[in-house]
Amino acid sequence: MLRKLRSCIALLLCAALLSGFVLSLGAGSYDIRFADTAAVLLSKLGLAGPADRMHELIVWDIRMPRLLLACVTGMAMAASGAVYQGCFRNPLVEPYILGVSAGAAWGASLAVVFPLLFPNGQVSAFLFALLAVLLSFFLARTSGETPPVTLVLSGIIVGSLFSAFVGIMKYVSSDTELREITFWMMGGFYYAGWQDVFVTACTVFPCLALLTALAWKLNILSLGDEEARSLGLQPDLCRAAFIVLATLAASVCVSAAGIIAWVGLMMPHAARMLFGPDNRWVIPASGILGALYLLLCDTLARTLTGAEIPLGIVTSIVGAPYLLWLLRAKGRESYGS
Amino acid sequence: MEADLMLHEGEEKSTLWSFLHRHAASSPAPAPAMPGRALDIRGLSFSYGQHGVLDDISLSVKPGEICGLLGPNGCGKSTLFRCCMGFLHPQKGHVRVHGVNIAHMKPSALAAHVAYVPQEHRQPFPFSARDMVLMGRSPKMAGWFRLRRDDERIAEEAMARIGILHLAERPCNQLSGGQRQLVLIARAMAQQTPLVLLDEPTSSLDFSNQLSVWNVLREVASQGVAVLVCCHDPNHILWFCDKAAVMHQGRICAEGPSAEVVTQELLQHIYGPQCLRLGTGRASMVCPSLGRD
Repeated sequence: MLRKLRSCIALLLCAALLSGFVLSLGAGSYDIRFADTAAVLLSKLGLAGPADRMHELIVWDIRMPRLLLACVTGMAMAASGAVYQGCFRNPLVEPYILGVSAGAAWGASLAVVFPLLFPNGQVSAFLFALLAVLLSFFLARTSGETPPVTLVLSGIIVGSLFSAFVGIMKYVSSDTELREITFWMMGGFYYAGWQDVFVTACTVFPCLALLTALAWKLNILSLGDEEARSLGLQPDLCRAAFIVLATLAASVCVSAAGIIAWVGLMMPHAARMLFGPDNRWVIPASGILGALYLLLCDTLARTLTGAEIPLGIVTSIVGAPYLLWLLRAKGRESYGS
Repeated sequence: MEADLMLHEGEEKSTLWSFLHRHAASSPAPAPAMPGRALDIRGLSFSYGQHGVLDDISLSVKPGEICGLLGPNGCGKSTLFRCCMGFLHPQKGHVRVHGVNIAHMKPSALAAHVAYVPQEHRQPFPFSARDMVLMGRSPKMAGWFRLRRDDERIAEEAMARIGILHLAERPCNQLSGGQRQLVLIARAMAQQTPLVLLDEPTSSLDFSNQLSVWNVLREVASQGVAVLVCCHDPNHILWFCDKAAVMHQGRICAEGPSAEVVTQELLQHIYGPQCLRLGTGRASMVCPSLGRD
C-alpha cells in the first residue's frame, strides 16, 4: 500500500518534471509556441523534417543545455544535501558545510585571475572543492575518530578560510575579472553549453546511482556511530565514501553553475515529507524535486523581467522563508532537541 | 507462551508465586550441544584517561545461558558492554566471542555474532518501527544491503514476538521511551545472533512488558543463544537469569548461579543495609526492609 502510494507520487513528480521541462523550453524573452518546440524536438529525434532554423537555435542550442544543466545541478545539490544530512545526523546540513562552495569558488576565481596557472576553471574549481572537503575532514579527525559536530565546525572554518581567499582574489583582480567572479558566484546557467551538460551529467548520474544503491547503509549510519557499528557498518569508512561521492556530484555542478544556495537544504526535507525518512526513497526523490525546483527558479529568473535575474538571488528569496517556516513550525519535531 | 506469563487483573497474588515456582522449575535452560563459551572476557581493564572504570574484569557466558549483570549506578556496566562491542578499546585484557578476539573482528563479522540493545536511542529522522527492526537484518544482507522478502518476514516475526506489531508504522521518535526500548529489542531479535547484549532492556517498561521481554529472552536462550543482560532489579536476576555476575566499583565481586550469588549479604554489601532477601520455597524475592525487621 505504502509502496504503491510512494511509487504514485514518484511517477507524478517525474511527469511534472518532464512537462515542466517542455513548457520551460518554450518560455523566455523570445516566446516559442508549444507546437514549434515540439517540431524542434521531433526533428532532433529524427521523427520529423527540419524545423525552423531560428527556433532550432533557441530551443536546441541555447535553452536545452541550460535547462538540462539546471536539472542536473538541482539533482546533485539536493541529493548530496540529503546524503550530508544523513551522514552527520543533522537535518540542517547542506553542501555548503564542508566548504564545497567556498573551495570551488576559490578554484574558479584562481582560474579567472591566473588563467596561465589554472587553465580550466571547472577543473580547478572541482579540485579546490575536493581540497576543502578533505581539509575539513582531516581537521576534524582526532585519534581515529571523526565526531560529526567537529566535522561540521571544521567545515565552517575551512569554508570561511576559503571565502577569505576568494576575497583576496577579488582584491587583486581587474575590473572585468571582478565582474566575472562576481557573476559566477551568484550562480546561474547563462553560459551553459552542451559541453557543461555532458561533463556534469556524466559525473552526477553515476554518483547518484551509487548513492541510491548505498542508501540503506546511510539509514544505518544515521542511527549514530555506535549503533551503526553494532549493525555491522564501519562508520568512518562509510561516511567517508558518502562524503566523497556527494561532494563529487555537488562540486562538479558548483563549478559549472556557481554557488546555488538552499536547494540542498529544502529538497531533502520536502522529500522526507512526501516519502518518509528512508534514504532509499529520499535520495532519488530529492534529486527529482531538486531538478524540478531549479528548473522553476531558473525559468522564473529568465522570464520575470526583460533582463536576467541571477539565479542565486531567486533561490535565496524563495529559500529563506522556507527555512524560517521549517525552523518555527517543525523545529523540535524535526531536529530532536 | 507469552499469554501464560501475563498477569491479568483480578488474579490473586498466589498466581505470581505459582508462576515463579513454575518458572524456577523450568530453569536452568536445557544445555545446547554447542560447546565452549559464547562470550569470554578475560582480565579486562579500561580507563578514560586517568579515571579507571574497569579493573581486571573476567566473565564468561555459555550458549543457552542468561547471565544477569547486577551493579549500582556508575559501576562500569555500560562501559563493559561498550568494550564488548568494540566501541571502546580496553587497555588490558581481551574479549572473545566464540573464541575469536573481537579486536581482530571487522564490525560486519562482529554484528553477525553479537546483537546489542543500547540503553537509549536518539534519532533525528522519523524512521518507522518497522524500518528500525528491519535494520537489524543488515548484517545478514549481501554487500549492497538489499532486502529480501525473508528479511521482511523475520522483522515482522520479531515484532510479533515482542508484541509491537501494532506500532510497526509509527515513527520511532514519536514513541514513548518504553516502546522505543521494545523496538530496539525486536531489532536485536531480528538480527538472529548467537549472543545478545542488552543494556538495561527493561528499565522503562511496564510490568507486563518486562515479563514478556524476559519471556522472549528465556525463549531465545532455550534455543542456544547466549544472553548477557545488565539489570537493576535483583529480583529479575533471581527469577529469570541462570547466572549472575555482580559488579562493584569496577570489579566483578561475585559470579555464579543467580540463586547462590544474589544473597542478602551481597546485596547489603553493594546497596546498603536496607535489602532483605525472602524465600518462599523455590522462589526468592528481594524486598526493602520496611521499618523494623
